[in-house]
Amino acid sequence: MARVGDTAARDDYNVRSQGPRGSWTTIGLIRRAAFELDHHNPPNPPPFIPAGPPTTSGSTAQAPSRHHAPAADHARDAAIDPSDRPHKRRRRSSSPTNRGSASKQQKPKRQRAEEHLPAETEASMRLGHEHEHRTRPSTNGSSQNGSSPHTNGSAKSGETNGYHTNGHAEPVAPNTSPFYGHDREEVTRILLQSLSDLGYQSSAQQLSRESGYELEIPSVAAFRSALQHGDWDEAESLLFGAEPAEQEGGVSLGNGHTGVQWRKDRPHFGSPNGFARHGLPLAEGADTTTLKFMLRQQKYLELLENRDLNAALTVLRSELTPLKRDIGRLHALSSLMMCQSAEDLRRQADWDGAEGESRSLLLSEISMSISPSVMIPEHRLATLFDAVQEEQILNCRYHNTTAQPSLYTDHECLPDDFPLDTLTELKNHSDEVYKIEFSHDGSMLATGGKDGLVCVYDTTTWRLQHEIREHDRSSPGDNSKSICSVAFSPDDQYLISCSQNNEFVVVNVREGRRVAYADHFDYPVTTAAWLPDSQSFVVGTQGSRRPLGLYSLRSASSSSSSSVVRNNEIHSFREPPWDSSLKDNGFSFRTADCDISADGTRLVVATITNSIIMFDLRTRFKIAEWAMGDKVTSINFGVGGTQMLVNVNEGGVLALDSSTGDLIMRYDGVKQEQFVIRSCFGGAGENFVLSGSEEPRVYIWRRQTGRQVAVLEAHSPGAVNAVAWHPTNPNVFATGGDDRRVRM
Amino acid sequence: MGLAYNVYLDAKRIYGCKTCKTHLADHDEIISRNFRGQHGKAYLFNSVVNIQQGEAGERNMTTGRHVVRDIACRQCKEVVGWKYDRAYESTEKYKEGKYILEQELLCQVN
Repeated sequence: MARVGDTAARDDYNVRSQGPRGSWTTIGLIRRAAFELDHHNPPNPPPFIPAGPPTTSGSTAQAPSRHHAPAADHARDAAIDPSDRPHKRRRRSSSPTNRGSASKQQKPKRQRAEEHLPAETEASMRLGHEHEHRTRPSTNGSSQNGSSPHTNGSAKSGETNGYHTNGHAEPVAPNTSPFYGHDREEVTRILLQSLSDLGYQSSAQQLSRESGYELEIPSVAAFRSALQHGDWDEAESLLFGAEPAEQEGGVSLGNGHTGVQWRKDRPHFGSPNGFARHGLPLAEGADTTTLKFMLRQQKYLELLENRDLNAALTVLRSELTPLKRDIGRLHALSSLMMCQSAEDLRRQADWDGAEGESRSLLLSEISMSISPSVMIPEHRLATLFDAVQEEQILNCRYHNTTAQPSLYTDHECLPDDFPLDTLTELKNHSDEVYKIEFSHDGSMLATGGKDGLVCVYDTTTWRLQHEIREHDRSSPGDNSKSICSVAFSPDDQYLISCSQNNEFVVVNVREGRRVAYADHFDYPVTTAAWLPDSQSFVVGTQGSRRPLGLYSLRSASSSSSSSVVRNNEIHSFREPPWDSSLKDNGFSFRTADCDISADGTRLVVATITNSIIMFDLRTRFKIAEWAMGDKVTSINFGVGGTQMLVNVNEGGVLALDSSTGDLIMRYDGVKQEQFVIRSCFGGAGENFVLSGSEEPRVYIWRRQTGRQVAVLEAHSPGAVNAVAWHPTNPNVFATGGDDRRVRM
Repeated sequence: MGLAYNVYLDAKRIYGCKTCKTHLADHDEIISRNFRGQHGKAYLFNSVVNIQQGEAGERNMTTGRHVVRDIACRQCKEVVGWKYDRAYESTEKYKEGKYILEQELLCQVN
């Protein structure tokens, strides 16, 4: 690999290459670029390395030896413009042969860095370069010399790092060795950005001095400050180039000359703006029209804010409209003209004014479209860290904490923290256990089963607090009094128990006595869910007339709190909606399970006929309906209400997106054919999915990856009917099954 | 063994188990009413729900030899009829896979 010491050798190349080439040509430039790339293949496309100072050439040969170039140029450039001279970004892509020939081991960094450059910017870059180069010759009087150092300097890894050491008199020999397999320039620039983000400005400057790399080329810095000061015209021309019309890839000599003229005519851009001619290199897929629109929109809004209506109108007419995009937005913007005051404007446009964040927001948005090696995406180091941590967390099998893992070591959770062993067993039930639920604060556990008994346990001592036998009243018919579902209210004061003998009962958990009930059903009450206010709840039954009712604990008639409220239905959800004009409203769905989202806005119902219906709780209208392949036995909201967990016969456990109904993840392994099997989200950060099965096993998966974490044997023989994870203690979950036991 | 909800039918007239009112069959699924069982009249249905099937056995019926199995209500376990598995005579083949519910053991649930 080329080292500083190899300068002499490199000089030979330069001299040699210069020989046949006496004039500037596009090919020459390309060649030169190629040469930069692999100075080992001089003959190939004889890199037209304008003689220039030997050191410069030599430095260019080196991968990131920017320093040399600037240093060498410095003396020369001083004549032209004392200001810093950015290194042009150089894209080699135009010479595939060169690239191929470049010896990989020689310039691994360069290759790598250069790969990053998006192809489209090449042309612009090249032209930019040529620009600079052209001037050189004119200034220096020697065509080659002028351009070569310049190009060479920028040739490195294509990183347009605003690297210019012109300001520093002492030539710094850049260390070009790769940093543990990563391009040194990239690493240093990212470090520079992180140091500035952290606020250690002097350290950042010291680092850039020491390494010779700069965070941003001057044109980018100029663009940034232009944007922040509201200098829109300059910002726009910096971003897009002064002559956006000229975009041809090849630059002929004649072109170059005009370029020179151009450069001279716009002295204020000066040398710092190597990209002045064609603007900053944009990232792939960046839409220049969108960017222009955003810039001009900001300009328009600021003019409006200053009540400079005429100027604003001019902007709207001459700049925004010709862009011909987003007509709706244009109309909105023109209507903003009607605003009476700046305050009004801000509110209507949802824009926080020139003084506020809007400029920096605009900068961030535009910077996303600028090629990343010119303007490093913001907080790049933090982004990289996040990505690595996320990956480790995803791969961690037993990750049961919400604490952020330390950056010092790779993260891997041990199975010790994960609840895999049985803590205790509760044997109060005399028959199968059908439903288990923890109270929302985690202090109580309620279980209901086939024997009609609801047991409430204290979760610290696991002792029985209450036994509630509300369903014991004998009813005609032989309907079993088994409990289908229990539900704690969000404030943990009340507990609903729904049973198969066509009634439900609401019990005050502290006192253990009933506060409300309803027994006007003809069909088993299968499920209940509370609204966040703990006063109303939704109850689902298998009847088809009024399958889902909204009930309240408060009734209009009863005022005293000790009376028992009976049959107080406020509203009935049904599909098709209740039409009072029809005598017989026909059949609606029958509820198998329901759940309410944590914010109380949505109600989701799983029906007997294999579909899932979602209602909006405030408007009480149906939002969506999805058909599932087979019988749905259980449905739960999770992850802040964005996902639903569904148990489907023969289909396993599915996590669906709650707004679109799309399948997010599928968890396999569960056997389920005829019985009601339940599942739930659980664990720290709801990282896990837990489910019972018709075999005597409990299944646990990682929610995000779907990977099976554990399969536990439990409750044999018979099915595991219900599962629940402790809401506050992520190390405990409970399961109930056909062996009449509840296991922790 | 586990919690299992009953299947419910949506129809104008539904026959259910006399003892536990579990939905058994839809009136529209009747294929024929010309059957007699141990307790009197019986209907031949295309499909029934909420039943548990018993063991298959050969029986000699008035129409000939058949392979049938008893069906019982899932909830209360009462026998409500039988199902034809196989019919040996070609004229009786139409009964294969269909169910007989005895009217005596049924009730109407609207």
